[in-house]
Formats: sequence, C-alpha cells, structure tokens
Amino acid sequence: MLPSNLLVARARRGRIEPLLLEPSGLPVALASEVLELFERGVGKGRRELEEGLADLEELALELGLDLRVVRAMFTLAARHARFEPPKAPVDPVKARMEVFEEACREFGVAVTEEERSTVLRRVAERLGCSVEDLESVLGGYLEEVLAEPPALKAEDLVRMLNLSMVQTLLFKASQLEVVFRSDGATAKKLLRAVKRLGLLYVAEQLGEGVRLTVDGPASLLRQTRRYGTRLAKLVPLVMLAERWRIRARVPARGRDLFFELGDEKSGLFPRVEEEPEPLFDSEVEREFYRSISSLARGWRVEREPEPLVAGNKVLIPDFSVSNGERKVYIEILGFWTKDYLERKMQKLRELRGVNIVVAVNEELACSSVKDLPHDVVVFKGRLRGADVYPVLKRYLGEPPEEPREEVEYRLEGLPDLSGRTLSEAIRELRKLGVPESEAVKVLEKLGYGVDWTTLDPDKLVLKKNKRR
Amino acid sequence: MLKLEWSAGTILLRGSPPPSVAPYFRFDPRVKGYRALAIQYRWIVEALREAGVEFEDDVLHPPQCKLQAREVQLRDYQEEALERWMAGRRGVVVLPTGAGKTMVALAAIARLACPTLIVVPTLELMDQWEEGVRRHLGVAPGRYGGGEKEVGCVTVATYDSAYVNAEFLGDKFELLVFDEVHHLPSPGYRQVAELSAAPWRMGLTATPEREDGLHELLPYLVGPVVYRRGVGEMAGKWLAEFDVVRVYAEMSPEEREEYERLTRTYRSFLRKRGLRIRGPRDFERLAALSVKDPEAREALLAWYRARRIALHASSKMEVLEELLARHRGDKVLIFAEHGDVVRRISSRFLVPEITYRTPEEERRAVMSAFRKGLVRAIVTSKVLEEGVDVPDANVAVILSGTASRREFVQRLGRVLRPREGKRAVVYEVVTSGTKEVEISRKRRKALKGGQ
Repeated sequence: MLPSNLLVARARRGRIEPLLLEPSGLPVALASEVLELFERGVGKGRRELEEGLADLEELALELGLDLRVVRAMFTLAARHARFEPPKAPVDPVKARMEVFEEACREFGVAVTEEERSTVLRRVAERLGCSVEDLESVLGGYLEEVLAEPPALKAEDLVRMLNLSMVQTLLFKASQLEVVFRSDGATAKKLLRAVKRLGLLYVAEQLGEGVRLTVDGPASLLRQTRRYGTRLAKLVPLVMLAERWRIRARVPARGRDLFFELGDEKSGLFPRVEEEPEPLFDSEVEREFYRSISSLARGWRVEREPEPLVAGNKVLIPDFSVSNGERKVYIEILGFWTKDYLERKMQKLRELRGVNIVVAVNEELACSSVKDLPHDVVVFKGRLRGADVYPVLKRYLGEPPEEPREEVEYRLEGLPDLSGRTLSEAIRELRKLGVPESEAVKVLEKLGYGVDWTTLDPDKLVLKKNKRR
Repeated sequence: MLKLEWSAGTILLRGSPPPSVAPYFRFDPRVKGYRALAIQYRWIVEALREAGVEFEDDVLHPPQCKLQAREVQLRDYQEEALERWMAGRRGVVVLPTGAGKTMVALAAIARLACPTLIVVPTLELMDQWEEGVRRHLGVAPGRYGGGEKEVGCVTVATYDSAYVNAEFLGDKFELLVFDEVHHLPSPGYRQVAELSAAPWRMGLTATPEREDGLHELLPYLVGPVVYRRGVGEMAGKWLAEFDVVRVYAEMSPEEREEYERLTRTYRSFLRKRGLRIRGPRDFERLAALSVKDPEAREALLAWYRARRIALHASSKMEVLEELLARHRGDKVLIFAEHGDVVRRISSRFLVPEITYRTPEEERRAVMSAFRKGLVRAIVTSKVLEEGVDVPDANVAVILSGTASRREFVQRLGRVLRPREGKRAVVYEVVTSGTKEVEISRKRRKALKGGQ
C-alpha cells in the first residue's frame, strides 16, 4: 500500500484503472535500477538514498512511464530494507537538552555568536565530546541509515507495485464485489479475514462460483470510505482463489467510478498468503496464547480455529485447545453484561457436541459475577493459562508427554456426500461417532470442498475437490 | 419485544420499527434487521419512550465506573457556560485560549459522573487532559492513542485513534468531549461522532468557524454553540493584558531584486492568461493548471519562492536577535513557518524546538524544562498552536505566519494565561514592502471579531 499521492490511475467513461506494469522488459529494468540504489547505499540515510531518484525519474519519463512509479518502487523497496539508528558520538536528546539548559542558565538566551560558542565549549567538555559533535547534533536530524538492502528480485518488486497500486486505489472504495471459485481452505481464509476486519457481506451463488458483496456496517447508511483500507486487505486473499474477479465502487467527485480486475491478470501480482491481523485483537488474547501453550505442552492450542456451525450461524471462537480427539473451545469476553453473557451461552449451547469455556473479565463486568452459568471462568486483569487449566483438564484429561497422533475415525459405510448439504453430512458423520466439532476437518480430509460462502449449513453444498 | 443492539458503530433494531422512529432506520438485508447510525441513539430512545413503546436496550456497554461526583471550582463565566450546556447536555462552548475551557468540561464530567471519552488533536493535549482528570476528578484516565490502547471510565483519545477505533469505542461512553472541536467536521473525524451512541456531547474551541464551511455540521454532530465569549471581552480580568506589536524587517538588496523579479513573472503570467486570483478557489485552479502547463508551473513556483523570500528575509534573524536580547529574562515562544527555519533558529540561539519531527522523549523533556524554568524559550512551527498549556510564557514572536485568524488567535492564546500584574506582548515580524503586510492585516481582524 502506498501514500495516495503515488497512486497512478486514470478515470475514463465511469471506470478507473490503476497503472499495472508487466513484470518483464522496461518496468523490470527500472525496478533493478531502484534496487541498485539500495545495493550501493548501505550506510546512507534515507534522504541521501532519495537523491538518486531524480535521475531515475527522468529515465522513467524517457521510457514513457509515469515518473511516480519510481518513487512508489522506492517506497516499497525501503519497506523491505532494514534501517538502523546511526552511531552518534553522543546521545542526541541528552546532549541537546544539556546545551539548551546551559545556555538558559548562563545567558537566558544565547543571543550573540560569542555566547553561543562559550556554551558549546563548556558542554562539550562536560560530556567528553567535541564541539563538532554537538554542532552535528544541533544542526540536523540524525537519520536512520540503511543496514541491509531489500532481498527482492526486480520482477517481484514490479508485482508488489501492481498489488500496491490496486490496494491504494481501493482505499477510497466504498464497496467491493468479489466473484470467486476456490477450495474450502482459501474461501475460509477470505471469510475469516472479512470477520477479522469487522466487515459484512452478502453472498450469492453465481454459476460454479460465489459472489460476495462486501462493505461495512455503516455503508448502508452512509456513502463512506471508512472501510476502504480494510477492503484493500482482502485483495491478496481473493487472488489466491482458482478463479476470481473483483469489482470495486470508488466514489469520486460526487459520482461512482468502477474498477474491475480478474484472474486473467493473476501473473501481474505476487502470491501473498498472509491473513490480516484482527482489527481489535487484544493484548489479553496474545498473552493467553503464550501462557496456555507453555502450560500444557502436549495440548494443541489454535488461535481462531475453524468456524463452528451453530444453528443457522457460523461462529469462530478465539481459541481451541485439543488433546487427541477431545477438544474445547475458548471464547474470551472483555466488556460484558449478564444479559449479554447469557445470550452468548445460549447461542453456544446450540452447538451440540461442542465444549465451550467462556472466560470473562471481572473488572470489566457491568453486572454481578455471581450466578454465572456453568463453564464460565472469571479472571482479573489478564487471563492466564492457569485460570482455565482446571476446567480444560476436566474435558481434556492430563496433557500427554508427547503430542499424540490425530485420531483416525472409522468411516466405512459413509455414503458419497457430494452434492449433499453440510447439515446432512454432519448427521451422517455423527452416526459414525465423529463429533460435530471435528466434522468439517474430517470432510476436508476426505477431499470434500466446503465453500464457506453462505452461513446457512442447510445450504452449504459439498463437492469433491478435483485436486485430490 | 423490540430490541436495540450495538453493532460496530450502528444500532440494530430487532423487530419492526414503530412509525415514531422509522425514519432513522433502514432495513439491512445482510443481517435481516433495521439499522441506524449510532449518533441517532438518543433521539431513537426519546422517541420510543414518548410513544410509550416498550423496548429492550442493549446499546451501551460502559466500563464499570467508580467516578464520584466532585465539586470543581469555576469562575463566573465558566459556571455560566456550564449551566447553558447542562440545559440540553449538548453543544459547543466557545472561549478564548487561556480562559479555561478544560475546567468547564471537567466540571461537566463531574456533574454527570458517567463514562466519558475526551477526544484531543495531539499527544501533548492528551498528557495535559490526563493531568487535569487526575487532579480534578481523582481518577487515572485510560489513554487511547500514540500506541496506547487502554479504556478507562474516563478515557482520553486522539482524533486519529478515535477515528480508527470508532467501532470499538462507540458503545462505551455516555459523554463525549471534543477538545478543539473545529477539527471534528472533517470527513474522517466526523465519524467519531457519528459512530458513537453517547447521548451527551460537548465541543470546546476558541474558533469554531472553518474556511470550508463544514462547521455547519457541528449542531448535528455535537450540538449548537451554547456559549461564546471573545478574547477582547476577557483581557484584563480573566486573561492577561496584551499588546500586539508589528516589527518590520527589510529585505537585502539582492532579496528585494529577486522578490520583484519573481512577483513580475507571476503577475505577467496572470495578465497574459486573463486570470484573477480572488480566493483559495482561484488559486487551486492555478495549481491544477500547472500540472500540464509549464508556464503555469513556472508562475506558481515564482509565487512560492517570492513568498518564501518574504517570510524568511535574512534580516528577520537580526530582528529576532534584537527581540531576544530585549527579553532575556522573559518566557518566550517563537513561531516560524518551515521546519528547517525552526531548526536554524534553535541551533543559532540554543533554544529547544518542538516540531512534528521532535521525538516524543525530547518533546516531553522540553516541555518539562520549560515549565520548571530550566529553559525560557521554545521555537516551534505549528505543533504548539493548539491548547498546550505553557503556563507563564509572556512573549510571543511570530516570525512568519499565515493570514489565518485561527492560527493567530491560538498563537496569541499561548501567552495569555493570566498572572498577577502580567502584561503579554506579541511581536509580528513582517517584511516591509511585501504581501506579508497584507497577511498581517488580515489575521489581526481576529482581535476585533472574537473569532
């Protein structure tokens, strides 16, 4: 993603198109030049590195490319480089404060040149450095210097640039439409990202694929760019699908422009598998993950495990902890009221065959902690592994010395499930002793694809993945 | 039964909306419920109650609060401002910088004793409000912004952070206080107000008016102006007496020649194209023209360079030297337009600078040293304009500045904190025979209108 002044895009007849470059020929030559700047620039500050850009900008113009491309490439490459603080002769902040306070003590303000040199001489003596050292600390900002050039190939830099151009354009988008066809794992990633980013979608079946229309809660009420940055984060995940197409609505000067892109352009983009970080991830969760993982080494702890089907909803709990075939989910609540908690428990109880422990923060409670429903763990301050360990043990038994093999279910007699709904499949599996919580995993192992594009398990249709 | 729920900056209504509130809602097919912006919460609840409709309310989820009502000592005009605001618990209080707007807000928080979010433009102001909350309300506030994310019964957040986290913060507070509320109407920041369900809202500023006219949104976002006093009405009793002195700097002959050459280039371009620059709109058009038209670009560049020469005439440093010599024992704030000029002044006179590039650690050290009197001058660009308390500075030097009345009033306000027998002085250093004289005339209008 780039600062918006580096976006090169062109609007015509109601459409807007960002500049996309082929990862070959001229653009790659230009990218190599930019990377070369870094190769030669170890030890230099950022500003000094940037001085080399003027020549390249001229080169870009001559080659018929927009000169902003050069600065955009530089920006991206710099993000993959390592900079470190320069070796300063003295601690800059400390030295500067010494100088200012000495000047004030002696003269109020060092008005004359002479007074100025007196102050510098004295402070230099006191700090054991030279007057020149002090001058350098007073005169300019000590910039970080390049320690390690980016480990990037020129072609990759061009691809990254293309992705960044698309994403930067999407910052201003009010809505994103995604049509895709993919295996279940990829679809799940995308849906999980939608949830993590606090976005909403409507899904429709579209031939073999699915169409998602994604925007945010307030989009219904306001034409807003609030969700643009988050929509942009979905793009790399969409590009992982077998077939994909996106269409974005970008409001500009009182009208809507449209941007479209499809998998015929896949070759122009990098493959980025990273999922976006949850928007409101709390420190609580991160710390808990660390402490429970170290407490019970034999148990397997997973953050944001697979989605659970509860009634007609899909729910992604914060954690799952499993010991062989036994598994418990953990949901952490910060702010809560008793009503809220009860509703949550009610919803969770609809997940039959699933064990859930809800951890609630006592200090953030809006109502009394007394008479909480079963399987609620109350904690103070930060949730620690030890707080839930006893409850988990009740479900999971002692942690084994070594992590155990995953259970193999005996699945003889399981009919072909292609074309059946997820609800039906779960029913079939339950007959064979597979708990609901494991159903999706087992199905995927058997090579069934589940497209997580509707949240209604009665409508989710299974199909055999061709790949396996 | 009808039910209202919180949903990421909006309110969801389960059931079908009765006619009294129907206009607020739209059906959302994504969740099969009715949705309204969170800002409407108060009106929705009032309308439902008035119509005698029973409903369950699960919109606000405030942190548990142990805020105890305290008495905050107010001056008569502060008391008056508070009473006016209390009448509807919504609205903007306009008071000149230095008149103690903060105290009005703290008294309001103490009166309502409810979970409160205070939104401020800078980290300095965050520190300052934290201090105020501790001292006058007896609680340590949560901080949200500058890398910190902590919600307390009273929470201080920056506009940026409140914008990014609006979905998360919107259901946790009953009262919103917007410091320097003239920032709020911008398209991004206004969402802080729109996506919050807090029924009570207070805005504080010395100058609510914005050049783009967006202040017209303030009545919707926070409420109408409920109280207003200008700087002229208050000097002498509640603010320090002050003088504004214009000091002229001369350009060197070389600078004069260059200035005139550049101005000629600019003017002759305008004449040739039959263009007239009457306001910012016309100027924007020129800037747009310059993208494709080399002559326009040259003209624009000439204008910038001429302006720079006027703003930074070399003799301004000499003028500054004289002024500083005259005020060695005083507490002085120096304002300049460009970062590199600020740096030059800092290095030449050995006074600390505060700009947006100053590292956090140094910024705090400088402010604390200034308060303790260990340094007695600071040079700054725009950072110190807003709200920051520099307790007893009594001299301001505006070495270069714009025509903005707000900027002027804010810079002025930095030296107006009252003290027994204090008389403040503000110097405007202006290059004679340039546009800058006009600039100075424009901003001084602020002294009359109180805005």
